[in-house]
Amino acid sequence: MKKIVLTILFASMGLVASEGEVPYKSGLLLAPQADKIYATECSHCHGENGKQTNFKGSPGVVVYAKIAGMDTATLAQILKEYRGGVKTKDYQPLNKYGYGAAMVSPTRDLSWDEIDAVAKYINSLK
Amino acid sequence: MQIEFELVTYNEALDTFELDETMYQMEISDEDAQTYELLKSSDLNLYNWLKESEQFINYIREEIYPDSDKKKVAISDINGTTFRRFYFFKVTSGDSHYEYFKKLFGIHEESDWQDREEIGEEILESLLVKRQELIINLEVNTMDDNIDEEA
Amino acid sequence: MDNKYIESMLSEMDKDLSAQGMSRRDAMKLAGLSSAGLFLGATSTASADEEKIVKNDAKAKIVIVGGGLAGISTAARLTLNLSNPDITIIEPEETSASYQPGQTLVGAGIWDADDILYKRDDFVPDGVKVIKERAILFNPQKNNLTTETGQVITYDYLILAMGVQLDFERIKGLEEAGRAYSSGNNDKLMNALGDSICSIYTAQGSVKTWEIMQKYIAQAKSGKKTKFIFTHPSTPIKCGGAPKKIIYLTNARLKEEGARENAELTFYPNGGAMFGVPEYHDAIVGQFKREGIKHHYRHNLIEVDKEKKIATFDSKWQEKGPWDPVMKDFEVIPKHEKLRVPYDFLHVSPAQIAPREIAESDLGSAKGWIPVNKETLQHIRYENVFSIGDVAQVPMGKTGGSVRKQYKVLVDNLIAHMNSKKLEAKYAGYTVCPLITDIGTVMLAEFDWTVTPTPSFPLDPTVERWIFWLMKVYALKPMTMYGMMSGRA
Repeated sequence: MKKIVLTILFASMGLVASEGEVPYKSGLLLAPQADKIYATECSHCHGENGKQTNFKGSPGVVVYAKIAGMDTATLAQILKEYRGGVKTKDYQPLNKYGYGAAMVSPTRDLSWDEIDAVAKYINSLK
Repeated sequence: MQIEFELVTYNEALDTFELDETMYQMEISDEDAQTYELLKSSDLNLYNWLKESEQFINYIREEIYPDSDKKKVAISDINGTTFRRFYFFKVTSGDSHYEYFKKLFGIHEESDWQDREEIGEEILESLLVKRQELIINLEVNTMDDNIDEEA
Repeated sequence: MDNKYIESMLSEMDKDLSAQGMSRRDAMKLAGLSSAGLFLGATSTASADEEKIVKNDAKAKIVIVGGGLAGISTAARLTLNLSNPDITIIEPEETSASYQPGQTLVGAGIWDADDILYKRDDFVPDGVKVIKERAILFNPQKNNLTTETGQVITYDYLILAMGVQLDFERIKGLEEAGRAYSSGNNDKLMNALGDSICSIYTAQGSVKTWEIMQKYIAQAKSGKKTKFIFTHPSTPIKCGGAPKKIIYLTNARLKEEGARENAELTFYPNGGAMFGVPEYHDAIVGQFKREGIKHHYRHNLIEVDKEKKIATFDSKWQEKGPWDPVMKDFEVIPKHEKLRVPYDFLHVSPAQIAPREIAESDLGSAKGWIPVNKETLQHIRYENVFSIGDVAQVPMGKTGGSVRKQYKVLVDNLIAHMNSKKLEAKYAGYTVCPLITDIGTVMLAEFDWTVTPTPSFPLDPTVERWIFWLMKVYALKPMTMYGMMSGRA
């Protein structure tokens, strides 16, 4: 499933590794590399340190809470709800926190293990 | 003998077909009648034979659609053998049409577990291509037609 | 006729065995063990033709992604047929050579876990290099691929044999199970499935299936009404018969324990028939009736509630719609609704998909499977890429028996291509499903793309036979592990 890209910024964060660098792609059943996942999926809206709270997209500025240091278990739960099921034909992911549309795409390919790892990583961000 | 047939017209811009609900008749020679007898049980061979027939194409051009803007047509029935499913199949069509196309396009999944919607979509995809082969182009290419209309 | 045939097959077997100084009884027992040396002699008779192989001198670097039964057999046969083979297998899982067809028997306690556990390194042919990593990035335009450690591997020819992934996570309630492969460590999956859900589709899972099955058989024996539910998913699967084989075996074990009366066995397949081939479908419907096994067609498992032990199915059916004057036929309106079914024992045959890294690459396709010419097994877009086994988009080709026919075709065509010749070998869609219908009987369903039975033996293929049970339990494994895996059978 090709992901829906929100801005050109996303497109440039490809997974093609440069020579010698170890590639990582989420959803491939590899051991989770939370830092790589965060860099690819989360950092452009939430910043490298998890402290960014707004993003100038279309149609206007989107505002949200700081995520750095959030409780691991809560965050993992929220991310899993955003991700929703695998086959959207059968059930839809939740939008109860209001950012459903934006959060579906980055969480789509993550396995439960990867979400747990990312939640832990974000919790550790200072 | 007489061959009875019905046509559909093709709207290229919209990629849709419409039934021309008239039963037409055309006289064919004894030799052709023999060919008809041979081919009548194989629907697609029958179709191609008629489609390639000069007599048939000219008949349509001159007798059926002489001055019209209908440039593309296809055959929907030949002496009772129907081809409508090629032009009007949809996912809600009856099972017999599914079975026909599954065989024609060689669609079968593992142990044939079928989900109607998915199979229907696969058939429609294959049909998009197949139908183009059935369309008869009535345009006549003569020198007169190549008028440059650009201002 | 049957008895005579059995007698003659058995006496043939006896003749060969006595030449090895072995009794039939011992050979049957030994056939279940993994000691390689003992059986090499006997299996050369099982693989009928010992061909005189003339080696081909063409040279090229061949990379095979996947070290399961298909990958190793292909590597072995290429090694036999090339004078200067340069072959690499990419396979990270140590136990990738395990005998998956035996998982049904392990699931019913007829074999042990050890009977199917085989190590990749014991079977990779001499001279073949092994890269013990996952291939995750494919670049067919440049003839290379990248592994998970960043290693870039170039190739002249690529053979894709990485098999299918089991997609448990698409079932709501089992998301944490994720996706799995059949071999290797599946602790995460076992934890997610719990104590009343099982699946023979992983090696570890098949052992757990037997444990859980015994628990619920005991419950039924104690007088309590016990519900056994079995599913079949909405995707193509490897071994189309396995979801049914485990039902028959559970049924047999219940009868053995005198507990069958208190058990209710129900099958919920996604499809509208038991089998694509009408003769086999009829036979199975008859068998189900005879054994008192219920079934409900067109039910797809979409959710489980492990606490309450309720399985939710998306149940589909068709209703007659309005008359369509153009098509001169009634329309058919598909309808569906959710059906909640309580269970004690739930056996899940999971949805199966091509591994994501290949499905989303240039080598994959919309449905994920690798698009090949179904007869020559060559990729439709890249002429130096071939695919074989479960991951290839070949109708009906996802069984061990299919691989047995495919790998010879692939090797012949690959070598032809190496010599700039036309690819002439063709796979005809042969598929075989030894459908275990009881402990001691198998209906050997063989068919190909003509969707009619194509039996190899001169016997009515819809009859369940003890001789095919013997074949399944005793002969197929050594034939596969020592015959096919060495590139000969």
